[in-house]
Amino acid sequence: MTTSEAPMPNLMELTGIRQVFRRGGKEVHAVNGVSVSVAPGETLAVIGESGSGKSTLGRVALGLITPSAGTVTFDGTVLGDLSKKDLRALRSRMQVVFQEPYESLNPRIRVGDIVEEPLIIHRSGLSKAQRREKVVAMLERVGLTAEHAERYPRNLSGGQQQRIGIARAIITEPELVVLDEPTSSLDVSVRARVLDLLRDLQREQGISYIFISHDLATVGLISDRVAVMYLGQVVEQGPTAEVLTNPKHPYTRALLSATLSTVVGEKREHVPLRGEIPNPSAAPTVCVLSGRCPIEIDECSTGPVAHRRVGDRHDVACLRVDRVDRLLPVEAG
Amino acid sequence: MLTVSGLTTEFRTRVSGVRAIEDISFEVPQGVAVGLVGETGSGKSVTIRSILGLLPVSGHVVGGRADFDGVDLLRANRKQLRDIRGRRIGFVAQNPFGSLNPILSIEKQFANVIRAHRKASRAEIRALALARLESVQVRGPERVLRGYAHELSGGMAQRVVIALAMLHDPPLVIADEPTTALDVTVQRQILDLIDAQVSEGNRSLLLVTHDLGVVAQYCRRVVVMKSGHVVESGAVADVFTSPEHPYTKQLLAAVPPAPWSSAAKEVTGA
Repeated sequence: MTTSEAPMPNLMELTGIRQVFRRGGKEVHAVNGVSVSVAPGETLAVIGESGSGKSTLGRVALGLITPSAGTVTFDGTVLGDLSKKDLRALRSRMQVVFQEPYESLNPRIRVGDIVEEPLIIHRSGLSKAQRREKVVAMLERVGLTAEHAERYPRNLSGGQQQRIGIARAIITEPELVVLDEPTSSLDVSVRARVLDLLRDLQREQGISYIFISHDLATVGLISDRVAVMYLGQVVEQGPTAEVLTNPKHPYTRALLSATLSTVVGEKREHVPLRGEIPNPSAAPTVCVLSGRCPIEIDECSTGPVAHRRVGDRHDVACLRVDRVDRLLPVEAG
Repeated sequence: MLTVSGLTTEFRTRVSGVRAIEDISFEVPQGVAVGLVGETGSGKSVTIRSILGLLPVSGHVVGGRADFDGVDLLRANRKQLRDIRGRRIGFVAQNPFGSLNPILSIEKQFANVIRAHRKASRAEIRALALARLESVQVRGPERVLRGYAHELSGGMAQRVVIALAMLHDPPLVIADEPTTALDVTVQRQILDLIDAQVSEGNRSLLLVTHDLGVVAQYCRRVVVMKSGHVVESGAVADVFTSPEHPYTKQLLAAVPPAPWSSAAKEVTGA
């Protein structure tokens, strides 16, 4: 994990992103004014529960959907300004790994061909032999062998399938990879090894990651900075170590308290949120946690809540920041 | 309370048989919460489905015993088993929407569960259902009773399933990954609810989970399964602090510590 270094130009900037879907005459406000950035070689974790808008944000970052409002800038280029052809060329520099490895791999295609496909699309200058050589090297790099190239995805374990997904994503040497819950469907012992692989690849190739997850413990292992999303908004963002040990938003505290320790007897006091996540049918005009928050005051439901800076690059959208520490003391030392 | 010994189950196709679990033995003592942990394919779900007589048609118990209430569940006839399942063992499955009937009102489902084991008037059913929904903290219970499963959120639906499972005050509760399908902040609420319902009635709990944190915080004893076998079992306090089997050690080492826990501070050096 890197600490604060000299400011580097960001590889990707998402500014004021809004995404509204229309479904059966109803509006779904999936993302409501989110601004985040990723520096080269950095991992930004986007964390939230289902319906928080985190996966939608990932798709916007990749240019797979055009946001209703806001701009996506990649290496100084605004995605919305590009022609289809230029956008496609730019996309070879960004890749994605999905949560369900098996569902994201074509079951009728051999593993070798799956990993080769991005080269055919984005590296048309390579000969067949050159591509094959790269595929074998890539398979070996992710912990598989040349022999796996001849198999079909269904003949591989979940962990191996996810390694294929990773190999396919990084074979074109992208600068940014969006990892959408890449380890959530894997068993714990497999998960740890896939995370190790992702970290090693990042160190070797200087890739930036946007790591989308609902699991704070995993995020703590892999990310430099974290943005906590709830109901389409970022409620807190900052350096990972800072956010996880000194969380300032009641929602982050609730998420943290929901993570159970495997140390026997270390059960943390639960920060209760009333009820469950409401449907994002309208863009919230007041604090997103209003109605569920345990330390809410009248002002929380009178208007939108602006972000305020509470530490080094650590921003929180809460009027009750001063009271959050009383909500749940963070253990000393 | 529940004693399982030598339980062995096979899945058979026309051409071959596969042994899914072999020689599974463990106990769930009175008033104790036991965690049954393992990864995908470890056989933990097959184990409880064998005990409850809920195996798919290709599944066959080929050996062992599961003694509960003086009855071997593996040899009980269908009627005995149905009676025990409803009245003496409360079952909470992973997906609440799979447990609830989508085309019956919630009130009708309470009526069915109550009347399966005794006579009750409509007024009696209503009063009991309301009281039980309140005890699992369902908001607006009158409205919920009139409504249907699809109108409920995942967390609310699982609360209704828990209320139904507890209707006949069963001395044993079996929960199969009861929070896996739910959002993180709701998971804790449901675990706390099951914990409260179980300890209030001095019930026994068999909690099937892949989450070691859940076992550490909610169970007193643990049974660790791998590839259809029990590799280690014992008191949670012992197994988690000094695991003996290499697989248990590996499993515990693989879980990232909760970010606020003492273990996390050792890792980051903070």
